[in-house]
Amino acid sequence: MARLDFEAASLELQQYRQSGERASERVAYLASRIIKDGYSAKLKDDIWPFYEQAVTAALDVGDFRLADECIENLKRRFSSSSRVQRLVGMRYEAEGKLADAQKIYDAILEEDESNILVSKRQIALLKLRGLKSEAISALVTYLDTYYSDAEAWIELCSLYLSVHAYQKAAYCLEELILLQAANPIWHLKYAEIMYTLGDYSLALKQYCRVIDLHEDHLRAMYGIQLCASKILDNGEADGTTEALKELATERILATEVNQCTIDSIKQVVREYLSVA
Amino acid sequence: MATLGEAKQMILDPAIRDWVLLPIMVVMLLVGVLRHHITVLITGTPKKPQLKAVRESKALMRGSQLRAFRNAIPPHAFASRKAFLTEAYDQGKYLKNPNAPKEGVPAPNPMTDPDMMEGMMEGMKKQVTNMVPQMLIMGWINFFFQGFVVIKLPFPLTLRFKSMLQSGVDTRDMDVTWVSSLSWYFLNLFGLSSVFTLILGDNNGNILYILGLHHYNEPIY
Repeated sequence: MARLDFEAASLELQQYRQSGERASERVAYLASRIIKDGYSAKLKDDIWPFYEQAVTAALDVGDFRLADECIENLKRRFSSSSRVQRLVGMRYEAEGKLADAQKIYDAILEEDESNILVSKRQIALLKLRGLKSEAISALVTYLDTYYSDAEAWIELCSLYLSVHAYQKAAYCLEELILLQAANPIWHLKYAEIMYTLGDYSLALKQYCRVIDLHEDHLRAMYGIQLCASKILDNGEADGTTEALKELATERILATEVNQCTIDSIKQVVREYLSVA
Repeated sequence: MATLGEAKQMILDPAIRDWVLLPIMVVMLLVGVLRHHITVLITGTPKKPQLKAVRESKALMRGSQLRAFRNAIPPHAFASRKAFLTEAYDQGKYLKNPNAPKEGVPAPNPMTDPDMMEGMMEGMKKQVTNMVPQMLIMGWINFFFQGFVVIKLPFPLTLRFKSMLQSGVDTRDMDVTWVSSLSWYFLNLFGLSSVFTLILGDNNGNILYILGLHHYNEPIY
């Protein structure tokens, strides 16, 4: 096996740490190589975040040996750290010992009730146990305190969607739009929920907003096309709707022709658009 | 001419270099390292934010967020949020302590608030660890090496630098490039910060303090 390029590997790991991307397989591979080839001493002070990152990645890919090794090293250095304790809890979680994990998280929160990461793990535990309604109410309590956590809002939204509570899911997305108004994905999701709820005109507006934020967004254009046809079918349309539908059809064709190389798919698109 | 130039030349005893110049520098370096470790020792763990306080600030943020991006959500969504938030604010649902006295009552004495006291103590402790060693070193230099000329700078300087480089030595005629012991101390004080960064890594306690102490020392110049 070729020697690992340590410089490149440590830089890559650092980038993952900063961006928060969860490329667990890659991270676990790089981490195990760095430890096995004896480079860990070269990381100096970076060794601790490195271990933390390695533990999460190792648990994701089920490499308990690597995770244990890193946790042991961290424990030796930070004996009473809640951050390390959380990793121990996650180790239990990965093994399926949910009760043990719960105990650890409870102990940490007793010490410090404002530990965001651990509060989130508790909610994750509820989800893991399949207690959807409990998870929802825990998330609502969490969001009552940490309003600005967009991740938690989208999580709550998908929980509501999984129990078909579309109105409530829409509420979550409104909050997300308020928090990050420039993110087209929230608008797109909101439009789709509105479409599901049957509010076609609002859905149409939201789809247009997505296009506004992200030019030639294919999914949104299909959305516009679909909403416009529904509105036209219901006979509530004005001139703009018709124009919008035509424009969407035209843009879909143009984009598909540019992007898609398979002729049969183009054919399908054309047929679909001519029917709708 | 040559003899005149030589007569004007001042020669420093090498012993001054060995027993004044270098010791001052070494002592300052060691004290800096020591103080860094003391600061680390006495600095308590950062105070954990109270859950209620977080909730209060986030609720305020929610209001401003709604105000700023009200156009992004449909009117009915905005109206329901506005109604909810105004009611919540009116009743003080999100306040840290909802029973606190309303406006008009004078603010409580900060001395009686344990939170405030703790914060003030923390600041005091840092100040003391910064001030005491510097005062000691300055006293030591003033006591033993007052009026010493310790080093000659290898480059010419204008007359304005005299007060900076020769504090503690009152001569009008001496060349500006000569540095007095007290000035050597100040040069070290401000010049060693990058050395500390090298030894102790970034974010060591010394840099902050040097910036802070700067104001204290200005009148001395």
